[in-house]
Amino acid sequence: MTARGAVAAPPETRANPLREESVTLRAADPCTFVVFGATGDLTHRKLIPALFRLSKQKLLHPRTAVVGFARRELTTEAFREEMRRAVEDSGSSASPEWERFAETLHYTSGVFEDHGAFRTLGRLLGEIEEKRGIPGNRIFYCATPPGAYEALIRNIGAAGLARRAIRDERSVPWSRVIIEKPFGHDLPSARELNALVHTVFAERQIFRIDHYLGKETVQNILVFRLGNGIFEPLWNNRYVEQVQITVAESVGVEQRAAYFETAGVSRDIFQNHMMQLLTLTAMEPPARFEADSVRDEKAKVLRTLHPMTPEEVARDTVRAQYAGGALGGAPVPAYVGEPGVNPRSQVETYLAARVHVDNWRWSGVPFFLRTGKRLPKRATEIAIVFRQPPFSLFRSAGCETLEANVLRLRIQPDEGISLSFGSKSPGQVLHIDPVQMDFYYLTSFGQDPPEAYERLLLDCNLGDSTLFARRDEVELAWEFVDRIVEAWKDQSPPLLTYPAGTWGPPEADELLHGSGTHWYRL
Amino acid sequence: MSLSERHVQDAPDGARPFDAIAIEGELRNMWSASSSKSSGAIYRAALANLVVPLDPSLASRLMPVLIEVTRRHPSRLFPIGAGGASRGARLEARIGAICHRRETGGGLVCSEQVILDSDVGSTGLIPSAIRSLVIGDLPTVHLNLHSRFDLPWISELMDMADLILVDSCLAAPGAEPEVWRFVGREGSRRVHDLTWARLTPWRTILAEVFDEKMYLPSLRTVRRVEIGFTGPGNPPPQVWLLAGWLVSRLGWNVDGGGRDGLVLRSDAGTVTLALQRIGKGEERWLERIHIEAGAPHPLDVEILHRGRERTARVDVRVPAPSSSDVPFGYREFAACIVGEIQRHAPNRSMEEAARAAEDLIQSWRKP
Repeated sequence: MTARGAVAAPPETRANPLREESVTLRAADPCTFVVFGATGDLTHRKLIPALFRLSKQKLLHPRTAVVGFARRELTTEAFREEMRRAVEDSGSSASPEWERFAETLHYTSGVFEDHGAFRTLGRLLGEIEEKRGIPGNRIFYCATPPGAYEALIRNIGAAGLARRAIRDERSVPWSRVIIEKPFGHDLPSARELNALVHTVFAERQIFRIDHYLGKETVQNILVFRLGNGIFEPLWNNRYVEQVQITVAESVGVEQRAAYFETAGVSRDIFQNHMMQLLTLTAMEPPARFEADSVRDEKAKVLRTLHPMTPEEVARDTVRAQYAGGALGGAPVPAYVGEPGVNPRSQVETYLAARVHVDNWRWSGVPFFLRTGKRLPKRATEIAIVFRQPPFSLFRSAGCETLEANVLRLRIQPDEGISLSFGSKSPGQVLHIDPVQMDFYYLTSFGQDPPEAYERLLLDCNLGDSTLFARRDEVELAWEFVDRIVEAWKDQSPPLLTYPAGTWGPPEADELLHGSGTHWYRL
Repeated sequence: MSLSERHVQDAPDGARPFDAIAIEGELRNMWSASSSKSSGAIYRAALANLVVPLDPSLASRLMPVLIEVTRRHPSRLFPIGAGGASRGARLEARIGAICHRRETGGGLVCSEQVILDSDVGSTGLIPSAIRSLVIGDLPTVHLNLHSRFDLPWISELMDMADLILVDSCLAAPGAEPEVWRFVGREGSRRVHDLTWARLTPWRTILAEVFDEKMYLPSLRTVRRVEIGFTGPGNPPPQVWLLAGWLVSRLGWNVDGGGRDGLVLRSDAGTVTLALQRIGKGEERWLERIHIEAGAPHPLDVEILHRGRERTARVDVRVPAPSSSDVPFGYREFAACIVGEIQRHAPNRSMEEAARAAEDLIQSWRKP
């Protein structure tokens, strides 16, 4: 008897006949996460809670270990206790899985410039790997201020902690490094840092993290555009009038004044988060949904961004700094009154710009970008504003102007998508009102999207770099932003002020003058 | 009425004769009443209509599964207990909600449910009742948790479904091939066997073992496969499906039964497939796979997984002894169901495995 429908696997084939596309569970490799800056804010608020939640969901390999490395002297027990509090502060209930996870946590102290501390770290890693049966796979997470990256990378290399990938990145043991944004503070420094990291790691081992890309709603931009037949045909200059991208923060500089004084929003948010949102909105469909195809298309968008001349910078950008004001019913100080800020600081906390993507699809469509600190609320949104119908059929009935159709992709909070369109109001008179079709993640899926860091940490373990920035993306984004920052040195446009708790200076509204629209309310 | 965490809330006046208009009105009243009395936000969510004929003997065990399904995939839920109502009751309905506290806090996410009961003589009314209550612009998923799927009223419900989930583990012993033939007839895009979904971690681990370049050539020289299971009676359907999967993926032919098990033919020779009951538990689990391969690529590997454990043990004895615990993607039943609801592709691999499994069962039954 013959098994009907049997798939004959050619005996000489080198492919695994049991490996089939239907088996889609992604299995994490056993590895050690080495977190530099383990006593810092990022580790407390994001990394350890994310690792703990991954562990709770059994998405990490059971033999996974975490080693914290920082300047502060701590015992492993004290580190575990500190991390338990961090997990609880993040809103996760620590028990009962905590004890099991805590056993995977280790700590060693050292100065990033001290080569000896890295040799000690190497010995500790060897012991942990032997004890837990980890085959030497390591992820180095640079959760430190950017100024520490150089020493870190040099010492990881000098102490032989990382294994450079030659051909097959997935061959065991593998080493990967995660570097937090900002990656450099301008194009030359980004190139320098890239060159340095490349002395220790190959490009496919480098994971430049921008946590915005780990957000479910950001990933959904591509799904929405390319997984639905009705939107992509409209996604071009024939139907789109303009695009608005807003990344608004209600917080000030908090504990990051020293860093922010050297960065401003142009480097802190515009060069990374906003450029990523812009590329995902404007990119062409990739050939395949895999890391290099997606990143190729994103890089193409950055290459086609119209490079601004100083005159265009003066005309098409608005920079400002918040003055004292009120936010959420409470008074807040001016930026220059924040602790750690130079009282005569000229650093921008607000940036609005009109940029153009010079390609076939987007020619003539302005992209209005704005970001700022101490704005009335925390909100990130992409608004696609569609063109008006070519003929106003209802003018004779008294409806002179109609609201444009607007598709709003809400990245945070209230994650979702809405589409506004005109509808006849009930009654005897023809009156057209804008109404909305709304999709909320919560009411459709009954749950909030997972934390971005969970997704990104797991992707790094799995060797999937789709949601991480590639070298060329980072450098192209810097090239674009550097032109703006360079032009500002001539005080053109001047640094304006806006009261904290408002949507920025009125001059930002004037950017849209003549476009027939306004900044959409968030 | 207040809606509380993870609570199945029935309307206060309980079951009443079925009336579609009244039910929709009661649902509306329930939401407006709960929103006015509740201290926190309540989100009414639905991604699908979930129609669930429940085997009366399994209803109490399966309701917790359905509650978990609605947490993972909010739906308007229709649990159907056919034949459970008292004689003369005809068709009865009661409404309720299943609510879950959001993990991040800040309110409840609730799924509506309409519970239908009928007396034995009124099962034919069930499809028309469901048809009047499904939310039109949402997909309808038929989750068959009834041991029969050939009853006229169940067939009629299946006809209106976009997706049908069946479970060959619920089929009467010996009737599993009927489930697989149904999948074959209707197509694996529309009909999914949940038993196959439970096999995913086993297939993943087996594939991973042979991802190892050193072991891959051994697939060509396999001489013996032992599949161990727990529970009474003949091998459960998951054992047959896994065996069928190996047979179909590796291009083996079924030669017939032997004293030591089924005899298969591969390009390199004869393969013995032994299905063995191990352990004395009552639960019908697949617990062990042992594969032996001969020269020139000898291999002796055993994979052991018990119950709901999150890891499996992989012991390699030949060519070089090694032992490791590997993640086993065990999923609770509700997670398997939701995974299948969210899968929209045909499953050729399963269809082929099912056909091979049926051949294996026929050979097994021959004297």
